[in-house]
Amino acid sequence: MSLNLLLPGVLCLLLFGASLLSIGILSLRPERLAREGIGLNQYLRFFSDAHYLTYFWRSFKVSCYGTLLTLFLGYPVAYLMARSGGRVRLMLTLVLVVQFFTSYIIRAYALMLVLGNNGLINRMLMKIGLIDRPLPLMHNETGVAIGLIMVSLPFMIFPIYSVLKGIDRRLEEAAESLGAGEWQVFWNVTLPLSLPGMAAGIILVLLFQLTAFIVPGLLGGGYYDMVANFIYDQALGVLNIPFAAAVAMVMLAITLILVIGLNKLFQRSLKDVSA
Amino acid sequence: MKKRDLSRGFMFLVFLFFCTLFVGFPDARAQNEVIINTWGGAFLEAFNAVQGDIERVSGAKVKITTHPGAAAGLSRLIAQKDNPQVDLFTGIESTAFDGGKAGVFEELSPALVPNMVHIPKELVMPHGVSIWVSLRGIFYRADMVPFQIKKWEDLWDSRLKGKVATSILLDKGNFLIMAALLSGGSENNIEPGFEKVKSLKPNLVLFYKTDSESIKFLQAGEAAVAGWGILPNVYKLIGPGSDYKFVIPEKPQFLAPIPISLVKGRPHKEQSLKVINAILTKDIQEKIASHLGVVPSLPGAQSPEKIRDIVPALKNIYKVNWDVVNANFDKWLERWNKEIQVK
Repeated sequence: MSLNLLLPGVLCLLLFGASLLSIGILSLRPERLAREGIGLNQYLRFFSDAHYLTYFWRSFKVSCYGTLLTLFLGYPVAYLMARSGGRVRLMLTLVLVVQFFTSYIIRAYALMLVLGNNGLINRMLMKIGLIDRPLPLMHNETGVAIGLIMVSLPFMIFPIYSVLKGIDRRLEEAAESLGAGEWQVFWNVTLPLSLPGMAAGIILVLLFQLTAFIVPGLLGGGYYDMVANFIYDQALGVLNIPFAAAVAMVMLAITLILVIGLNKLFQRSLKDVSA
Repeated sequence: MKKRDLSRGFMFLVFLFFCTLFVGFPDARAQNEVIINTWGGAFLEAFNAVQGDIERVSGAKVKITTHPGAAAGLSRLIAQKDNPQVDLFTGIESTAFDGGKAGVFEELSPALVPNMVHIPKELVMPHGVSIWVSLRGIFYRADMVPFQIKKWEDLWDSRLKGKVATSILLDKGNFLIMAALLSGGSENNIEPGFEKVKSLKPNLVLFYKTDSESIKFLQAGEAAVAGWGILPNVYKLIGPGSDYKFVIPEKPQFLAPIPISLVKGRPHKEQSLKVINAILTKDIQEKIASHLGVVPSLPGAQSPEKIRDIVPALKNIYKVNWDVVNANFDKWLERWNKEIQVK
């Protein structure tokens, strides 16, 4: 019975493995339109030019600080949701859930209308006389970072919220009864206990931002292309699918190492909390 | 949650899955249809509008499916080479050449498609025949540009500082080739093109990858000028009283023949050839042209009135050598990313 229950999962894993394998094989094709032959040409090309690392550097840089900022912005919202009354929670949940019903492209486009030179923020600031020319909020790293944080906030908030909601309030009350102040309770009890939610949120958001395509495409204006944009250009612009596959494999390897490292770090921290 | 509720939920999901088998994958039921794979948006609408006519003239049942772009569609065809899912494919010249080289397209000739005999030789490729010609030029917003744009050199005007958007991916480097031609180069000598585009950098504000992106940027006011404009998707925006303008500068002039290609390894070769032949008839050519704002490939078929005056003569069109472009585009793109697409 238990083996039967595993079957759908195993099938999914097989399918996933097969597609990964085919990308791996494609990455070994020696030429642009080749369907035969095996070689390491594409990997050699990738590692022989530091320019390609720029895309990796941009992706990792913006997604690392982007994830941290998303955590700092998302945690208070999740806390408010978990600790407030039904109406406030419902409103916040609705605001966040609505995002999931809106196309990702539409959300990025809406951000363009807010952040752009002609956008809401710049027009407002110019109207009240705070600035005399538009702030460069788009077509650069700032625009991409703001876009990624805004779009990925729900992925941070919901895991933290679900863990905060499950924390036994008596633990906090016990700390308070022992003389701990509000801030001490939060720092020593609530925050450590919400670590599993933070860990899930961090991994989800990091992966989401690391592989972003539409946000850097629309808000970066071509000046801040990330790895996914580079892969797109190679696969669909140049039709160099083997090279695109090789870059994707390198990205996959680095991401795997990063996620495994983060997982170990979180597991150790969770053990410390439990202890 | 009760165990019974769980199993009901599971059964519902299984039911939905089987529904998608019958509803979600119509290709599996459409064994006798000639499937035409083209772009979405205005292009899909145009094909839908003439689907009945094509079926009547060719006697074949036709189904229209979409691809996200010519190169993306071709890369899907290459991936599905052993089991292709479409019969006819519309792309751009470079994809017809690339597809031929990759062995996914059949060769076409008037012996197979009789109406091809009427099509000018400039619009016939070894692995495709142009079914319409799309105009290329500068697309801009008159309310954001302080003068009337007339020639390519106007893009370099200092009054357009920070207002121009462009693309190297669209039409596979044709903007760069245009810049090279302005400076005495060509696709065979691209160096002057890079120098020329470098001098455009103060005016450049952003880069787009697709024509729909270029429209979004213009509509949002993020750019005032799309330096490489493609008419069909903006056709409905232009006209008397509109702030959106489309201009085809003189020298060099570019047109993009849009080829239809026959995909290898499909069971409906005869019907597919009849469909191509039908698309090349006067009535269908004119209907597609009026929907898209394009020039019919068939001489004698009328272009829509709105563009009739701006259509350049075929003899004046710069003929891009796609073999050279396809062989070098990889290097051009890399250099463009290093030298042009940086602040």
